[in-house]
Formats: sequence, structure tokens, C-alpha cells
Amino acid sequence: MQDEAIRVKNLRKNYGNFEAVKGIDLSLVPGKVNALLGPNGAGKTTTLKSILGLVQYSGEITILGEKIDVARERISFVPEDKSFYDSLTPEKAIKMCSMLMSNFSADKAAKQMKDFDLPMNKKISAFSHGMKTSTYLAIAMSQDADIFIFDEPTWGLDPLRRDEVLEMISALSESGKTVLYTSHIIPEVKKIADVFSIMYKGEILYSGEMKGLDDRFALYSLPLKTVIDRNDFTAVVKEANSLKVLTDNPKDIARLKEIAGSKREEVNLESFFGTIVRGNKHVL
Amino acid sequence: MFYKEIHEMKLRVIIMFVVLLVSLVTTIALRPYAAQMMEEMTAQLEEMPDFLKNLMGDVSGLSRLNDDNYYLLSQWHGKNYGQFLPFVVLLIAFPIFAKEFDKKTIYFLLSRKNRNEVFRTKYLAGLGAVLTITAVLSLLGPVAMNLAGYSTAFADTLKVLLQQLVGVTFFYSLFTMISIMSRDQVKPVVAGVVIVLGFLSLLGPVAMNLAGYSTVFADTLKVLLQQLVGATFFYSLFTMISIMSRDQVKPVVAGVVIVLGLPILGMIDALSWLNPYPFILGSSVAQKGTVDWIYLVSLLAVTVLLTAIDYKVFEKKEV
Repeated sequence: MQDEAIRVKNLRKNYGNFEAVKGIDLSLVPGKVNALLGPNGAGKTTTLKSILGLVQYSGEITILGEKIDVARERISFVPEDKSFYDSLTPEKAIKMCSMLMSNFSADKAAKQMKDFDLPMNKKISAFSHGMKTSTYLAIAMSQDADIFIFDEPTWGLDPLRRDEVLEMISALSESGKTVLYTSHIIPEVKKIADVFSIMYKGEILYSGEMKGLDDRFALYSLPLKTVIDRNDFTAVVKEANSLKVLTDNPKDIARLKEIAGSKREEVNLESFFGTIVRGNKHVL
Repeated sequence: MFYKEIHEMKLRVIIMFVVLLVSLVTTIALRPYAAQMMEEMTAQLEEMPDFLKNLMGDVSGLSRLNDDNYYLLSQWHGKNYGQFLPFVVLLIAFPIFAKEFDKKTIYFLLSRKNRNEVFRTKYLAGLGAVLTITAVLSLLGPVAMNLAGYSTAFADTLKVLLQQLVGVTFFYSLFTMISIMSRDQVKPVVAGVVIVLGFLSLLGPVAMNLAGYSTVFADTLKVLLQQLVGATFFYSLFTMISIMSRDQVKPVVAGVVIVLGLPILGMIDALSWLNPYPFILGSSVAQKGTVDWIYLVSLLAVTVLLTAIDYKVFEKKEV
């Protein structure tokens, strides 16, 4: 197995004068759910489009050690806009996909669609948004791909179906598949991601494992008038009544602990994400 | 992937085929009244301004409308069918790429298939449909005339077949050139086109003669050759617009502008070559009984160039 399922090096993408992605490096851990977390407009979708060769870019991207044109059939992709051929019924969609893709399992797709309660003989154009998303997901997950890429896969799904889909994504990594998953919904990422990267304004601000976040990082709330050098810490955020300071350096943690009025807070994905995005020195 | 493309264009092809079939039946039903109507029109033409006369071209042939072969050539191939052929091509071509961009389904395709395979399959499926419609409706002209009881001759079929085989070989080389850009899947479409042309040209006249009619396909097939080339030219042009657009409206508008604009530009003597209609309508076949080879080769060269540009634009297009 490759050390990196996908390797992105110095990826840059401009739309006119707008820098959507600003020279990022990104590595996907094989057999894990790799989440790319960021607010809308962070550059997540552009990064996925670059990986898939859907846009022109500068930088270097390899998938399982190969260029995209060689590795394309080893990838299954669910885009942000889950528009499928709506003149087809699910039954005909399965037939079409069987002819289109050599790694597609018609039986698996039919079973998945039945599990999703999709009417097999009704045109997709008559489906609700959630049903269309379910159709797309059922098709994508019926590909015997090595890498699954999901761009906001649960958008528009009801809570029950959303949980079901998240479990399916987790199951993919449990069966050895690599998943790249983008979302701006933090609880979802927390639920399924093994590794995550935070992207904001075209930059990767942080990459690391989900597990043990609270052990590795410390988040302190300091009195507003405390004088600190923000460059000493991972992120510093000035709030209405306090300073929030995030660090993973043991010496700095010891120093923060000694400051009068300091208070240690829980580091979870929500607080970590908020502090990194609002207070990262690369951004502000 | 052909299944998908054929499924997507099936309804459009059937509707166009039915509409043109109705037009063919109407053309033949009007046969008894044509000579009389044309005599009246000839008198009216004398009073028209010069620029309109120029637009109409040579009207001396109107007196030949009593000849069944000439009637079919001028009223079906040269008018009711021929002049709408570019619109048929437009209706087939414009959604092929533009609809995928417009509906965002292009993500599904391009994330699973390489661009050259997507381009090749889509292009050839559309071209196959265009050529099939062109061939079937063109050949249905003399078939329908004979079924309606008009008498036409049959002697030159073998000579025409020779021309047709040369034409098909030429088209095959055109398709092969496209296929060299990528890998396989070209065979089904090429085979389909060859079968359609071969089957209808060989067995069609045989069946007509077995039924007791005597039919000449020579002029029809010459016009068909020109129509196929003309249709391929318009197809390449409209495909380029389809690839460049992000919605389905612009290709239609641009296509209509081109279809209407080329004959208008062609009214200027120095730019008369820009008007492909006399070629597509088979005016050289009607007037001289020969294929306009110079225009045919030139138009094919432009078509090949356009096809290459189509591919290059598609290859670089961001979605």
C-alpha cells in the first residue's frame, strides 16, 4: 500500500485575480477517513476539483503514486452538486453505470437504493433533493474504488439518512478504503474523521489526527489585558472579555498556566476549529 | 457510455425523424400541383428586385419540374429536407456537451472517465445520429417517390455505390483520425454508419426493383454525399459552441445566427464560398450532375480542423 493515497504539493489555483488555493500541501492517509474541514469559500471544492483534474492548476498531485488520468477509475467521487441524469429511473441509472464503469456493482447499487427506499421505476427528475442525493451516493458507493471522495455528502439529507450515510462512509475506511471528505459541519467531521485538515481562505491551517486532540493541545482563556506575543502560540483570538490562546508546546502550556486569571478550557473540534480559523497567525 | 448518449438523444431524434417524414409525405403529395405552382412563381420572379433574384439563384430549372427525378432533387433534397438539415444537426449537437455543463452532470463523467474518452464517445454518438438521420431521410426520398407511383430510373446504382464506398472510406479515415487521439469504442459507431449506408444503398434499390419499380439513386446519393459532409461541418461547428458554453441557450442562439448568417454573408460575391447551402442542397448535382469535389474536400478540411479545435477546447475546459 502507498504511504500516501493522495499527495498534493504546492497546489495553487487562481480564478482570475482571486487566489482560491494558495500553495497548499496535503497528504491523505490510506485506509482512513481524511476530512477537509473549512467554512464556505475556504477552497475545499477547488482542491477536490484539482485532485480530480477538473480544473487547471499549478503544483503537483499524485493519486496512489500516479497521475489522475491513470488513477481515475480507482476513484469514486460525489460532488457538492449531486445532479444526476434526471431523465433516467434508478433502474436505468444502474444499467447505464454498469456499462460506463468496469468497477461498478449493479447488485450492490440496487440493494443500496432499496435500502434508501428509492422508487426504482420513477424518473430521478421527480425525486426530492434528498432522494437525488441518496441516488448519487448509492451509485458512488457501489463502485469498487480505492479512494472515495465526498464533497459535502450529507447536505440536504434528513438526520436519519445523514447518520446512515456517515456510517456508510466510516464502513468504507473500515474495509480498507481511503476516504477524502469535505464538510463545514463540525459534528459530522468529529463523528467520522480519523485525520483532519482545516482549510481557510485557500490555506491549510492545520493537519493532524482527530484522536487525542485534547491531549496534544491546550486552550487557555486569559484576561483581556494580558500581554503576550501571538507568534509564540498556535493561535490567539481576542474576544469581548478574554484572550483565547491555543498551543501544543509544553513550555508554553506551563507558562500560560502561571498567568493570573488564566483558565484552561476543553479542546474539542469546535473550539479548536474556531480558534484556529479566527486566530491563526497565517491568516490574520 | 454510448447507451447514455443514445438514451439522451433518443427522443429528439425520433421527433425530428417524424417531422421530416411528414415533410417528405407532403412534398410527394404536392407533386401534381408543383409544375403549375412553379410556372406561376416564375412569372412572379420576373418582377422581383435583382438582389432577391440573386438570392434565388438560377431559376431556369423550374421548367424541369415535370421530371420526377428533378422534382425530388429540387423539392426534397434541395428544399424541404436539405435546407433544414443544419437545424437538425444543431438540435442534435447543442446539448451534447452544453447540457452536461448546464446540469452539472459533467462532474459525474469527468471524475470517472478520461476527457478523451468522454469527448470521443459523445462526439461520435452525436455524429452517428446526425449521419443516420441524413442518410435515412435522404434515401427515403426516392423510395417514397416510387411507392407513390412516380416513375424514376435505376441504372446508375452501381456507379453511385462506388462513389458511396469511396465516401464511406473517407469518413472512416476521418473517424480513425479522431480515434487515434485516444483508444477504442470507435468501432460501433463507424460500423453503424457503414451498415446504414451499405444496407440502404445496396438493398434499397434491390427491394424497389423486386417490387417492380425502376429507381435511379444516382443523383440522390451524390446529394447525400454532399449533405453528409455539410452536416458533419455544421455538427463540428455547433459542437465547438456547445463545449464553449456553460448553458444551453447560447449554443442555440449562436447556432441560429450562424445558420442564418452564413447565407447572408454568402450574398457578397467575394464571400460566396461562406454559404454552404448550395453545396448541401446539391445545386451542382442538379445543374451539372456532378459532386462538387473541390467544395467537398475544402469543407471536410475545415471540419477536421474544427474537430481538432473541439477536442483541444474540451481538453482544457474547466468545470
